[in-house]
Amino acid sequence: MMQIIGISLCGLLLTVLLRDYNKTISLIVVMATAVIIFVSVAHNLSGIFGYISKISSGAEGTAEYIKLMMKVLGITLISQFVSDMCRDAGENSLANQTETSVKIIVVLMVLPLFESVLNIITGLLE
Amino acid sequence: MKKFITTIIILMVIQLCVPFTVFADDDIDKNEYINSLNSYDLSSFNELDSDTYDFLESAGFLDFDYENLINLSFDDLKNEFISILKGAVETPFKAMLVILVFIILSSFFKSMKSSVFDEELSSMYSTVSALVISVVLLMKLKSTIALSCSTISVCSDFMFAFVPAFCAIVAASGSAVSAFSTNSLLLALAQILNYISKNIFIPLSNAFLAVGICSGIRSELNLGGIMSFFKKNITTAISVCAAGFVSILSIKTAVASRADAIGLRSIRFAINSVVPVIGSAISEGLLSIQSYSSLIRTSVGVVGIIAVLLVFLPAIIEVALWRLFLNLSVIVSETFCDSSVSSVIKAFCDALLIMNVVLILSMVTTIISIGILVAARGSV
Repeated sequence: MMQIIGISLCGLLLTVLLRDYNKTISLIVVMATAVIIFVSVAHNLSGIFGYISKISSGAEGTAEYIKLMMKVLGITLISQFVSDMCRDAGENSLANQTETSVKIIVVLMVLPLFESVLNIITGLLE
Repeated sequence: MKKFITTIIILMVIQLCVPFTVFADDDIDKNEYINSLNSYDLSSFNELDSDTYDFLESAGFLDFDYENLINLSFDDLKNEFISILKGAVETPFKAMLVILVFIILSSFFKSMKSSVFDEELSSMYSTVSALVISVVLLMKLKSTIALSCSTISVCSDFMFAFVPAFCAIVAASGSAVSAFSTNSLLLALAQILNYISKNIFIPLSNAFLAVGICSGIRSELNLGGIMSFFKKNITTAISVCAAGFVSILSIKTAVASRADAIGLRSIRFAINSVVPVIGSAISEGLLSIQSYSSLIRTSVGVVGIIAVLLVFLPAIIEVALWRLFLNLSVIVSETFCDSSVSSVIKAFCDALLIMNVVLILSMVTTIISIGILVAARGSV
């Protein structure tokens, strides 16, 4: 925790100092700080996901759905991270484009679920 | 005169002082009983599902021997009920646990909303959660819905197999015009209700479930109006059918003893509270239903009713347990303020409520039909 706070404060000081001299370098520092923070926390995520997978293995036939939910969560987290950085750099159209692309990817991922819901519902109606 | 009265009083006193025990004649003519049984058409029992048939066979009920029926103990019934309950509780309970895991996961991920997700990505994630829960529930619930549909179908076939026998009985009685009176009307109404349940109410409840899932997955669709329209009209239609059936039943048994009504009051109250939608109609007509059940004096009728109960009970108990566990899941999802998930689960609860009501209605009408058929046979 202290490590993250330290990286964050250092990044902030550097950005504030460099902003007046070179905006490009300042932006690169922000991006580098964000990536370092994310990477330093990312190894904990695998522990959380492993624990959730372990819990879900008790409920038969649901492991794949929980895996799907976690994939969707991971994709949305990363895309949010990227689109926020794009917005910080003043590239709103790029941020929107990233979000749209992510939505398309998520829809593609959950399409089999839509198909199975439709199949079960039509099966019920028959 | 005085002597005569004194003699009578002395005789009465002597009679009181010397008690003696008498027994009813227990030497029932078995041949006469078997001949009586042979006059029934028992082919309809072949229409029963394998589980019910196996139980009836193992208990010796399919011999229609009155001794087997008399020997039926409370423990036998209790054990059978517990085995049905054990079989029915497993799937809904496991499904509830899975749903709770998903609700907790979903709310945990949604708690990041303020810091990580923007509104659009959060909405997308809710949709995925609702979709996953729908798929998991549908997969687990598929067998229960199939069981409910097949139960009504089996009972419909079971009763249709009785109808030719009823027509033959009416023809044999030689009074076709008078015989096709209230009893025939009731039997026809029961058959129509079973037919409507099988072909209209159950498909409609499935359609209602489908709309409910769509509404839960995408709350922006505003399908609430259609949902409430569906639910209101289906429950009204079922209530009207139940009320119509019970009214005709009550006309037939209007002269039934009112003294029995006092004894039935607590049962009526219990039915009114426990049975949803048609509880009031059934509790109001309970006296009539009881009068009809008193007509069933033969072992064929009793075995028929046990068969109907065994066919319907697993489905009714399973659906009721599903409703109980899903309602608990709704409470948990509302605690976590997960509206999309709770609306999907509520749609399932509403569809199961309709299914439960249809099953109870079919069970009551089928039991009364058996009463009419067996009573008609006894009148020839």
